[in-house]
Amino acid sequence: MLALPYVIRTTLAVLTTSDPFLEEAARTMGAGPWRSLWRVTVPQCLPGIAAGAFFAFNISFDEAVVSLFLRSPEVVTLPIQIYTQLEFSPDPSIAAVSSLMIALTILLIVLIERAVGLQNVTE
Amino acid sequence: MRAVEIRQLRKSYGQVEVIKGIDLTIEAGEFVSLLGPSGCGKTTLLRMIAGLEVATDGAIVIGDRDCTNLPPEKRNISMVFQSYALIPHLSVLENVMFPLEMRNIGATTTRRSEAMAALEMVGLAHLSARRPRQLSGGQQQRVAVARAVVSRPDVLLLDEPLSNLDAAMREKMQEELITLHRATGLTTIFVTHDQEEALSLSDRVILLNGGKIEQQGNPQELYNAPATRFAASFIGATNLLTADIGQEGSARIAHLPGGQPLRLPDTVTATGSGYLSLRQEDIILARAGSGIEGLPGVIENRVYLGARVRYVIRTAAGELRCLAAPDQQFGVGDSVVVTILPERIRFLAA
Repeated sequence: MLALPYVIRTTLAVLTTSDPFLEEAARTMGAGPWRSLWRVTVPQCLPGIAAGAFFAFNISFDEAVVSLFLRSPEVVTLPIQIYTQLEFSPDPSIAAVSSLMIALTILLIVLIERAVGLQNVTE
Repeated sequence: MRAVEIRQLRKSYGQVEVIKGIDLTIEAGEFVSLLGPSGCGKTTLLRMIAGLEVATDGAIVIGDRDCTNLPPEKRNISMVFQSYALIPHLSVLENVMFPLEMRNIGATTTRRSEAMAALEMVGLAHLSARRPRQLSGGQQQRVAVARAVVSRPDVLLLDEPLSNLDAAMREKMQEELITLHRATGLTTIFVTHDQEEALSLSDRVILLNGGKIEQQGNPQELYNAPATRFAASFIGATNLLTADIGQEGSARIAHLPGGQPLRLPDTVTATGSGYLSLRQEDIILARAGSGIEGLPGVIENRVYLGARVRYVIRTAAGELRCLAAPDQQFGVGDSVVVTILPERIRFLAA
């Protein structure tokens, strides 16, 4: 729920930059409303949906407070685990997890930079 | 045989009526242009034939089927959009195969070869594996045309398909469209606001103004014999002068605002007040004092256009614009005498 606006935003952003006549064009080529939605509009939105899913994952992953209240007792997310450990048994494993996450982030940025260039991603 | 018949077609958006009762019959194999200024209803009319807009009243018959209330996918039409509307995540070949697939034409294997044949026709078979965005504007345009003709529709609809191309490319595509039309024999309806394009491409031009047909006919008729003031000023470059037509014996004499009498050709039978339409290329200039009788004037402006020179001349009858050959040299401020071939003058009742 918290992540829904991000998914909608990214999908809409893709939709607004695409050609508004595409669906009409599909209709004039013999595709009914459902087929033109499925064959033309949905594939169009895929990059937006993927980006939205990525955001949603990050936000959920980062979210400690809501998860803390809404989780069932046997489900433990990483932020909750970190929080509990900090609270009750501070040990170096938290530092290790943090380092790992920072390293992963840096690796990801380097990979994106190599693959497509950061310029293209931020635009 | 008629391909499209439109009867008393109307379209309103709320209180505003944009198509005000159009009757139109288009023969099979005909190339028809819908021409008019923006807001005249030409695109709305085309979209109604496509089924993308629903008619408020009237009927549309395509082939021998009443299509008035059918959605676009149930009509056997195809359309080329101004933006080309190629599907970006499909390859060029897949784009051209799309209508065959959607309309269930042929088997999967023959679809591929049919689509390749259509691409061959527009000279793009070698780019069939590319994505649309990897092509230039002209190439995208050709793919859109190939995609539109591949399903052999009852009628091919073109919505200003050349307006996004540069001048040289547009001229080339015009010629290609004529060739393509000759090769396929498809009934074609072409929407444009460019009168030159309409004149050069079509068998028949339908001039629209304010949601109604102003005049229709073949390009020569429309150019040489405009029926109304609007038709005269929209098609070709013309001068409109207010004039009173009087009768002297059997001849009709026009009295221009400056008082100059002008003998009109026998084809003019009307009298009363109205407009004289003088095409810019029909006006002949001579130097003042060269002994030629005519309307005196002064050159007010001179615009060099390469193949022609346009002069703006101030006369007692009003401002005249004239296209002259560039070898005729007049400067700004020169006094000239204007003569007009009488048989080229059109009289339009007010």
